[in-house]
Amino acid sequence: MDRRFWVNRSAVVSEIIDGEAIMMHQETGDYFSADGTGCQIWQWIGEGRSRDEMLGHLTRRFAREPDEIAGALDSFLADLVNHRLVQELGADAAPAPQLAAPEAGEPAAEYAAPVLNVYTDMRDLLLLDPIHDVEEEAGWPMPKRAVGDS
Amino acid sequence: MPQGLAPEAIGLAPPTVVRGRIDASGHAAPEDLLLRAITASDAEARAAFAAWRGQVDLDAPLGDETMALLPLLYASLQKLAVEDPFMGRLKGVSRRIWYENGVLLERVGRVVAALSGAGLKWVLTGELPLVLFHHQSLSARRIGQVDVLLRPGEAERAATVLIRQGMMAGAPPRPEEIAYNHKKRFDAGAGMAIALHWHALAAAANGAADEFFWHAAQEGDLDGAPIHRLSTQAMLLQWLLGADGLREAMPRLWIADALALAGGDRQAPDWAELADFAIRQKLAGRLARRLRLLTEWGLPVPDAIFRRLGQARQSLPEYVDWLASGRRADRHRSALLRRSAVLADYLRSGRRTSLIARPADFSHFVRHRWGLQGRRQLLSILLAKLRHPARPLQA
Repeated sequence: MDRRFWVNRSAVVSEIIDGEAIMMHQETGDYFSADGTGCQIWQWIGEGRSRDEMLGHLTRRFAREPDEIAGALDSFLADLVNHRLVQELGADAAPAPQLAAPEAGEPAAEYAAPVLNVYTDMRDLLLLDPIHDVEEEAGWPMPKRAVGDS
Repeated sequence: MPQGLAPEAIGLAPPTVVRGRIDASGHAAPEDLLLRAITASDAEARAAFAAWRGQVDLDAPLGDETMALLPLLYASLQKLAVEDPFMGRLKGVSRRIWYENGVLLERVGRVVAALSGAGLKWVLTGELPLVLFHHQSLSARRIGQVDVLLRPGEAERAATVLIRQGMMAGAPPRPEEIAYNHKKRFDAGAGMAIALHWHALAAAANGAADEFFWHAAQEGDLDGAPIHRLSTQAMLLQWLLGADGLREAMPRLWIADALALAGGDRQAPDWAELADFAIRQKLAGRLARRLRLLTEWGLPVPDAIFRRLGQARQSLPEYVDWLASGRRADRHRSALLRRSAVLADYLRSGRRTSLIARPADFSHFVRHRWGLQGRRQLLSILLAKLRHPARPLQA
């Protein structure tokens, strides 16, 4: 049976900024982010798309083995569930809404498996100066690497 | 008393040089360039950003106001699809602001739930609805404090409810504070502040002014919970005639906020309604001065509004406001004059006392508005100023 998920809106706030989904669990204070395919999946969950629907779109978009994409998708969904950002809808949930196919968007970039970045130690991250203490390209919350760090 | 407000005070003088516009030598103040990059469109914004980047040392501390403006800068540059190595850190600033506002939002939900649970009537004003309903992104601007408008008769109970539930520290406002002041600020812990207002405007702390804002309350949504907040028009009016702390500490952020509100709802503000309120509350000159400043940043205010404000009946509060806003070469004397605006605020307040009692009543008003320990401190400040005119006025 196809699986569907919903965002735990009573405890999770999220926003998409320039192709990156950022989320926060308000009970734990943990911060998360996902870009690229991960951001797209987050958006699809918010639209009510099912797992199979998302898999179909991904396999049509990227020239990769469907099993590889399916495995990465399921792993990402499991991460979202484990961190209580989403919940899986039960079998008795209301039928899925009829949704239009997602927009084609830009030409498919090279595939990268969706990754959920998790930040739980927010106290230290909030002490970082967001201009002077962070990696220049990545910005906060990536702390500046000391010279010599690999 | 002058027959009418001086033309430059009511905005009928020819436009001055627009601040932030780059002159032929490529110079403008960095902070003004930053604001121009936020508020201007396309080519002008790009040029302002490029000029700002050329002037600013990113390895040095950037200053509180600049840091406060960076998320708005990021939003502006993103719309323009600007590519610059600084964009990575700018996005990081926006993420950080988003996170901090998200933490605050969760706490605000509990605050308003507590107020509603106690049967209190409240309206959210200030930075929180500005961010939620006008910028529509928690990443656009830090919410510095949570402002809640209450009825004067309910302010003490509201504070008691929130203090008892551990949401903020301090003592509820005493009857004297409610009589002479317009709000009280509380520390809510973890960098959050809550300001309980029992008058919508410090400069017009009276029932008629307050009713305008109560009538302008609208329903909104905060994470699925219903909330009450001011209409865009009312928020703009509050920003134009109030927000004194922000306007003094971060004038460019104040400008950016006012422009955002004036451009909100995708339709022009009802300028006539704003002008009528200001005239009724004897704040016509103040509104004209602030609108004049905003026209320098591109806000299209009709000339007819400036004429209407200029034709307002002259009154003692308007005259005192005009004196307090005038520029003087001696900055120390001007500090005393700027402070004299408190007399205008007193005259506009709803306080009705006999002529004999008024001086004492006014001294209480000043003491509370200036945050003094007692009225004797006021006397010692004024005596010190008279003995040492060159010394800045400390209050």
